[in-house]
Amino acid sequence: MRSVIALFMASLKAQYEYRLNFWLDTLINGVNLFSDFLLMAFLMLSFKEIGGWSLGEIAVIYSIVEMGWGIFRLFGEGLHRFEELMVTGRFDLLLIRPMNTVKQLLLERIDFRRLGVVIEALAVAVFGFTASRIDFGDMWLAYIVLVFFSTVMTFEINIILAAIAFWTVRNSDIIVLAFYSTRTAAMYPAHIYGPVLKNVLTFIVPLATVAYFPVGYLTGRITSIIALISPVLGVTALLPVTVLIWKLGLKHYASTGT
Amino acid sequence: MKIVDVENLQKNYTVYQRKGLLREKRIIRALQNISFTVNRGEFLGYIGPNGAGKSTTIKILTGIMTPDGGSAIVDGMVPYRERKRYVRKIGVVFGQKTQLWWDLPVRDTYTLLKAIYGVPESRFKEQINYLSDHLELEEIMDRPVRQLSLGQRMRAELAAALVHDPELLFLDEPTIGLDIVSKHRVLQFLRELHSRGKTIFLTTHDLKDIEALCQEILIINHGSLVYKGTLEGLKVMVKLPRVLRIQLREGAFSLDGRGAEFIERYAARYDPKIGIIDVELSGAFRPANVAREFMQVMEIEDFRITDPSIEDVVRIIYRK
Repeated sequence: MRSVIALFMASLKAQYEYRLNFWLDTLINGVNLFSDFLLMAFLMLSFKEIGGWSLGEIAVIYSIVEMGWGIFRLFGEGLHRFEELMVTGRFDLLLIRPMNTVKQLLLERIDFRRLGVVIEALAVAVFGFTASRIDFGDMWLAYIVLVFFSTVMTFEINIILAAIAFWTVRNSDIIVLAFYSTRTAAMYPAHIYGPVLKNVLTFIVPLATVAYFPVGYLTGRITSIIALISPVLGVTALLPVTVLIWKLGLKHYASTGT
Repeated sequence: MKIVDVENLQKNYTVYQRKGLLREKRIIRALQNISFTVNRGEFLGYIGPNGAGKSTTIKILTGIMTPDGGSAIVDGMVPYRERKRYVRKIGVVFGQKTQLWWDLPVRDTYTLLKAIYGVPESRFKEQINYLSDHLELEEIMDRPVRQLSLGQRMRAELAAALVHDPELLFLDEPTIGLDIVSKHRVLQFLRELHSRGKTIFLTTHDLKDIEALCQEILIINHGSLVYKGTLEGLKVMVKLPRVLRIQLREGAFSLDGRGAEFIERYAARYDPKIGIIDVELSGAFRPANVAREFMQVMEIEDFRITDPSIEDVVRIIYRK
């Protein structure tokens, strides 16, 4: 635990080294995200609804997915840039330290600028709850629980995608294809898509299970109880897959060293 | 007492080569049945040309890579089976990759490593003082790593590998790219570590380093071990002759008939442009006799006898 704290503090300090850059980046990040948010709000306000879901309800699923992403980016920079470690061979240096490799990756570079994403996601949630006039008390609790699952799932998916680099060395295109696109898709009600995409979001990159299904149940748009417990199912189902793929990747790395 | 015991180590790599539209699979045998042992407290130099299998061996011994066959036991453990337990016991420096935190002051890397390895505060302080004294780290302790010169960085790097005070060190090209002064400091420090009883496994391209430090050398070529023993033993094995170099006096470079006959008799090499004759002193040719005979027929400025350099010896080994 002490090593975790030490690494966390080191990340903070390293970023403080580039103060001006840090603040500029945070500012630009914020402006960027705010414009995204404005665009969405504008689209929503003119549509009023998408696939029968109200603007506020969509804002809530958008926020759950986005928040998971923001928290992931806060800690997941090392995973996100995993291919660099493969290309330069620097992954070797993680292996000569007596610490779990994933843990080292998560602590390698905590990117505090991503707090911007977290704040934006929170703003969208406030907007969503207000606009949809959902009862506040219960919904905030549900929101926190769902954000937790969304975060865990984002980590799982990204560990799997990073592990692909053990075989392919480069994986940035795969991340764009498998995660960025599905993440964007999962920010809207899944029933507006064709069966293929909906099934992908439910069973393969199951981001719909942490936002669309449970929120649908809570707002009374989906009746099946499975929708409510789908975050648990999704996250639990993905866990052994994540561990297995990472371990296989490590094994492959150990046998090829590339 | 053995600390490293390697037996029949094998490693193959599969590479794919594009041939027109098809990909052709090719197996490269990086290590073919390598066996050796290293005793506790030994300073071992590990050399070989590029692509001979040095890095592969180091990667297996540091637990990064699994071999395809054979076994490696280091300090009673199998490095690639119990990585986390094993790496606590060793220190590793990869000259080509930095393990320092790039944006942080040098000191912070040590504090982080202290936390990772769980070194107690008192031992840590003692160790840092020791390292700082011997590697002259005081002046760079509070500077960010990215601002260090290569020589400073390498000293900091060595210290980082020693924060947890391991008994066994793997150093992969720790002097690469260093100027003479920095290199001297590093070598001096390695000698100091060795005198404290550390076991050091050093790979390098610089044979002078090896000559200055290692009692034992290990030579690998094409994935096989070609020599293990002392440097002196290697020189004896290769049997390179000493060379008598004769410098002719200015203006007397053109040889007459007798001169040419001499060159032929001693199978010497003559460069008439600079007036230098090299005679290999093998077997029957005694230096004094050769010199006397040459002096009778030529006008000579200077003599010099040179021992074969370690580079020459190793070049011959590599060529085999």
